[in-house]
Amino acid sequence: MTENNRAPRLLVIDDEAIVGKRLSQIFSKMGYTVAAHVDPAQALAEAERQPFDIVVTDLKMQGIDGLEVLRRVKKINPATRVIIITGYAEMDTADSAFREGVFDFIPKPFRLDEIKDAILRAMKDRAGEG
Amino acid sequence: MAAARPDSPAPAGPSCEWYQPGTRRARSLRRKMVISLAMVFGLGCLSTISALYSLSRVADKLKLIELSYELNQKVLETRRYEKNFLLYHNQPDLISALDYIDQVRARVSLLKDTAVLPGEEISEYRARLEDYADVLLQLNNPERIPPPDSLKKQVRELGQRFTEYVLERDAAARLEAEDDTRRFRRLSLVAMGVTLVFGGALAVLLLRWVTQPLDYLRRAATRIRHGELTAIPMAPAVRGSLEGVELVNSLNLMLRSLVEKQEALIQSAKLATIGQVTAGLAHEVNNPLNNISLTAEVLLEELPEDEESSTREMVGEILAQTERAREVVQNLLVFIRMAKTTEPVVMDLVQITEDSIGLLKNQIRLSQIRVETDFTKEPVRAKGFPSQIEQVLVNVMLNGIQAMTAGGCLTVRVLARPDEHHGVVEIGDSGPGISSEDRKRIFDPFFTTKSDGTGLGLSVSYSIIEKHDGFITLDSQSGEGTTFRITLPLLTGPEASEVGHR
Repeated sequence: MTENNRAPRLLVIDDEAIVGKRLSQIFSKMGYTVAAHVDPAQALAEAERQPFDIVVTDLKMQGIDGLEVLRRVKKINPATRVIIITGYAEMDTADSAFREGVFDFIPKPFRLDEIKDAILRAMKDRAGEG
Repeated sequence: MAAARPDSPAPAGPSCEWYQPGTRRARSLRRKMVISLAMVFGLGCLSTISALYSLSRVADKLKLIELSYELNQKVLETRRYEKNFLLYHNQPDLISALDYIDQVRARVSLLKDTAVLPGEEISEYRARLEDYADVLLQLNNPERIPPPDSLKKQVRELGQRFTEYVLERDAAARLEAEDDTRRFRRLSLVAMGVTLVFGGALAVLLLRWVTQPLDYLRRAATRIRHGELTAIPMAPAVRGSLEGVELVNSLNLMLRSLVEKQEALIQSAKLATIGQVTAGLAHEVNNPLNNISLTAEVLLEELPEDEESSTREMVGEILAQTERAREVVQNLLVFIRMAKTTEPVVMDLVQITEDSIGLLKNQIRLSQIRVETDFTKEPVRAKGFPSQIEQVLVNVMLNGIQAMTAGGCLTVRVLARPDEHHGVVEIGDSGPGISSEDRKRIFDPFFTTKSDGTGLGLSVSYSIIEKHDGFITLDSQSGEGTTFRITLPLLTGPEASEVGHR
């Protein structure tokens, strides 16, 4: 059970840098290893090198959008849990995201408790599966 | 939905008068035309009959002339044989003369049969003929050949007189026939002239009856196209016929519904544009909002426990304000994605109105206003989404309540108009009223007169009612309050029998 002993790895992708900064602040304190990126391509490159447990990604981004990130991350490691955050949630996108295996879909602006809760549940889910 | 526009209020507004035909002069155009055509037909028949009559009279005269001519010839023959006998005393000449006298007699009878000549004239013919025939017969005595000179003279005299009479009558008959022909030709010409004049006048009148209203309508249509008129006014040109009045009324109805449809199109195009803009806007605003609230929350978490409570309070206020902004955006999003989730149900407008008033009990009590209700005893049924209708009613009532000071009165009526297939909810307040300037924009998104309003309440209400195939209108006089009238298609028949569950 080595996996349970190491720090959980969290990747945050959002072209709004502040989101990454704040979540890093919070989850570093909670013992997570947090990587924050504004460029999805760079973030995916890092994930290729070492898979993450949790990926929190914005939906609408330049170049690669959240659904594409979800697909690629799942390809790298199907066990990774992906949470999509978005400023404008449309039912269609939410539907296709869930079909593609997203763990949760959170509309912006969200409360800190919401995202914390989602990430904790994702970790628990992942641990249950592992 | 034009009905939402104060300058074109719903049924029986000033922009669309319903004209009654003038009681005295208005006749059906159809009737006028039938009468006119009958008159022309009658005149035509009259002139034809007079022409036929004239022809038959002329034919009679011609027959008379023919008979007179024959008579003439026979008389001349008689006189020739009579002369021969008197010269040469040959018995066969006398027999021939007498024979011709018989033929003359037969012609006179024929004249009588034609009944063209008066009786006295026939008697005159006969008298003179018999006088002559008598003396001619006296010649027929073989013992007295040659006859005495006195008898000869008598024969010549009477024969001469008869011949002269016949010739005179013949000439007279010719003259008469010529006169008659002239007279009948004149009669026919007069009849034809009368027919032409009357028929022409009627044709002109008919043309005018038909073209005058059409021309008037054409000109009115041009003025409407140029924006000088919104409806066709009644004018003498069309008031004269029932058809004209009906046509104007139908065209005005059509114009009104066209204007309504056009304005409804404009309004929904406006809403669609707003929807697109808002969708983009919401996304753009949610990101900074998220940054603010996330930062404020992290800041709050990271504040040392012993930090002054005023700092905590201020960060808390940042969070609260962010929450408020989030709600505004949320409402916008709801407005765009108007719930089209479930199937519409049969709903009772009376029930929904009662429920809506119930929801506002607190506001009503706090604002110290009265509520007067007037509901029909029977349910007023319509099809749709009760929660959405409730949202509209609460919204409109809340506007009314907020428009009034303590002691004001909110009047709520629910009624059914089965003949118009309408169910109506009327919500009136005794507030200050709405200026005509504001009335034009009251259903526009983001239009508000309240300091803390979003300007979405009535535009959302408008779209909801529009989606229910209904319309909202309002009456407002400055200083005399405002009445909103929400009209929905009334449900009747078997479909209405069961009110759906909510």
